[in-house]
Amino acid sequence: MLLLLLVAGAGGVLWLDRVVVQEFEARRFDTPARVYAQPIELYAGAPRNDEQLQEGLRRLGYVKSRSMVTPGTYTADGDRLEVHTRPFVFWDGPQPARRLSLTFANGRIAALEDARGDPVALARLDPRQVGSLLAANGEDRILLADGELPAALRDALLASEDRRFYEHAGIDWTAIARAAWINLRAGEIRQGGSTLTQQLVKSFFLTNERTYRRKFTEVVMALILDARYDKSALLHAYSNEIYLGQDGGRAIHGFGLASQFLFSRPVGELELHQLALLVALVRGPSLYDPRRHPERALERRNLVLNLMAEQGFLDAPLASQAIAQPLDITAAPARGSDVYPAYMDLVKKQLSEHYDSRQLSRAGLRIFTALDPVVQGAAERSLAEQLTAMPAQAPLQGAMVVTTTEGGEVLAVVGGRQAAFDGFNRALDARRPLGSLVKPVLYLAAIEQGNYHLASLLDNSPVSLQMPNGNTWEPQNFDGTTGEPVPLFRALADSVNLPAVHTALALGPQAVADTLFEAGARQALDRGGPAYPSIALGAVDVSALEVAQVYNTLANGGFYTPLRAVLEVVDAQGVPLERYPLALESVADAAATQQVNAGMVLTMRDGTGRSARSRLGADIELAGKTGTTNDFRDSWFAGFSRDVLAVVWVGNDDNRPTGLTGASGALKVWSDFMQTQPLHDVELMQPAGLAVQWVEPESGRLSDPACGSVVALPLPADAALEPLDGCRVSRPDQPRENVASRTWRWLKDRFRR
Amino acid sequence: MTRVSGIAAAAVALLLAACATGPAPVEAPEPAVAEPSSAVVSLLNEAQQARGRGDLGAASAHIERALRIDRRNPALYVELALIRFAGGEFGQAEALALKAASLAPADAAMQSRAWSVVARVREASGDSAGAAQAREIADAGGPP
Repeated sequence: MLLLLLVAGAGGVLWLDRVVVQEFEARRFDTPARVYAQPIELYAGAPRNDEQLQEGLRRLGYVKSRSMVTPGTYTADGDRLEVHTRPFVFWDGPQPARRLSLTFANGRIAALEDARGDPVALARLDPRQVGSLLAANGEDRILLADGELPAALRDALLASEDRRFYEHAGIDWTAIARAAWINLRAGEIRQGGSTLTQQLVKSFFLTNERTYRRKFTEVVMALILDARYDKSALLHAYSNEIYLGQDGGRAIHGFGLASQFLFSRPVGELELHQLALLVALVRGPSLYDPRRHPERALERRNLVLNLMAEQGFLDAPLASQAIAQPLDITAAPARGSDVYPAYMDLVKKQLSEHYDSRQLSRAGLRIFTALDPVVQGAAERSLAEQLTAMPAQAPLQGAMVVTTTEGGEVLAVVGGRQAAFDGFNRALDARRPLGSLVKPVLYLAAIEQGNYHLASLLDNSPVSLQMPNGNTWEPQNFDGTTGEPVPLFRALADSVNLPAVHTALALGPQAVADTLFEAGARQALDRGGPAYPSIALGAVDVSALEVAQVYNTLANGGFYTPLRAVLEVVDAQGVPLERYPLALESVADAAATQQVNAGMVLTMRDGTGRSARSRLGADIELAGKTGTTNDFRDSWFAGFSRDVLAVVWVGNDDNRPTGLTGASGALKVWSDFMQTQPLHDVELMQPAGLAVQWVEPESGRLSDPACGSVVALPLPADAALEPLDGCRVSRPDQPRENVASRTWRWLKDRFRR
Repeated sequence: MTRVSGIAAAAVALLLAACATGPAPVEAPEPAVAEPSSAVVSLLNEAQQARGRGDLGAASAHIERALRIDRRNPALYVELALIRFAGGEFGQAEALALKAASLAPADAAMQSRAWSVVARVREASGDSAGAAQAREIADAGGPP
């Protein structure tokens, strides 16, 4: 009988041993993938002034410090700023911490130097973490490597939790006895005798039930762990495992993350009083939550500091200095997984092509994205504020996508007016009719086909089309008028429907659909799929992201560039795993694309987009197009400057009419957002075969400034245009043949006279 | 080594030419900061060195970082085309070279450089007629 019990007991211990070892080995590297925004690049000439950089530094948790001994500190003095950057392992290698000195002039970084005063070509700040891809249990942590635990943090931990950690074998019998004595005298449970090893066992393997059986298992497991691993490995595991707080659905584990959560700084940069606060949390993350219970947290922190002094870890004066410090935490927690939920959706979508959710939540991957937090913040504000200001029966909804005009990088995604709410993502998942946003693509198809150019006269007569299902399709112009033929550029700028319909019918709807597909509507359409005449007015359901893709192709001069949120993925050791490189596909003729872009510049100048000028100024040349769908259900705007492209959708979730046109809805959001961006004129390239001509705007005939109102249009050099009766036609200056005039920037004042 | 640094020097010279020559148009004064930024030049150098030792991933990352600073610099697109070419991605190489050409329509030197990359790519992929056509454009310093 006794033998049987012994065998069973030995079997049990062996089994526990296997569980402990297996779990311990596996769990030590269990960290969710971290998602980073684009790092701030520092170089001479960077368009960033001193205030913007300081704001960026503050968001990264950099603090002002005269001495700047530790990384993560800076000093600012007029137009001069010095910063001690943090070390960071980027996808293309590590960047060590370094002291940099910057001067500013005219809203730019004028000079960048190192500590010795030598010029530095380029440096990056550590990127801001904007999310982590958590497992279902919500566990989040920032893994501290061996040796990254500050000595003072370790001392504080030993002093307050387990003073005989290095002597006992996993269980501290004297501590248990002392605790029992104290509890007995107090008549209640005041103190536990749990060692760090026991706490680790509880967190790793056990539930919170309080039974003798559980207590027994805990003791055996602690003894096993202690026998199997050395103290430093246990302390290391403990520092990464211990539960220290809750942030919504996210569980804060380990000192690495807790440090970011409370102070927005890495643990290596913390001061003694801050380290002591982290240790204070161990006893009750919720009880001593410094944001909810500051007095209690302060008291506990000071107790930790006193214990350190009592046990000889600290000199008394140092302890009292630290005790005199405030809590020093950041006001709001640095949010983890829910900072920019709409953008994160796109990140996950892109990653799901290569990774399963287990890899993402456990393998400690680091994901570098194109997200620009400043652009994202501006887009969120513009959408929310402008929607609130619009008259509507019910709260309007909206969505926004912002990308670079070149390179296909997604800078911001806003999925609704409450951007922080992780709900239905209208930017990615709402599919709405394209409406008049199709027109630039329609005219691109026409000009590419060869029989059209910007000054071509288009039929503006009524259309009545018998459909295969017996219905009659009678599209109307927005104002109900019909009439004389209209030059193509005016039909585009004023978004006139009938000329678009006539053009699409002449080309064949298939040609329009094919061009739209090639330009980027590759989800909304099937390659070579059926096409109907109604495509002329944008009867194709697309997401805002897809619209951004299509307009990117235009802004790129006819090159399709797959939009990217994720740029690089590296593993926990910093080894690059996956690149999402810049890719191009030449899908549209350059000369045709630039004519369409010139038409979109005229749209902003005096077409349906002109109201943006009141906000953005009359001097700036931007390109864009409004979109309004039947009964005012959807209000769209898509447009770009030299650097940024933004698409805005405004509408109702239940598809009720909004009463808004593209101009009275989405364009307001767009202009408000663009106003926050550094704006530069769009740069229209001049491909071979195009020449600039003066054209009379109503008739589309060749003209001259001396003969009245004219507009300068880029037209095929061989276009045979009728001159205006009785007008001596001259040609505007053509671009000088040198490399500085590689664009049509000089067209600026010649578009209209 | 000599060959690589020779190419690097030539490309830097082109980069400088693409960015710095010619008077800026009066109506759109450029900011009074030295161009091209030394940041872009140093990244281009790093990219060329990385390509020289066959580290195409790093080379590509350097160029993309440079493009984030100067998004419409044709010399950077030419280098990226050469990186893709070295990696056997002929389609991308040609598209990137064409993109470079499209960004410098009036710059004969850049046209010639970009189109000769197109010609090399087409030769390598067996399109000799297309290559000859590209070579002609390269020699003429741009399309007719």
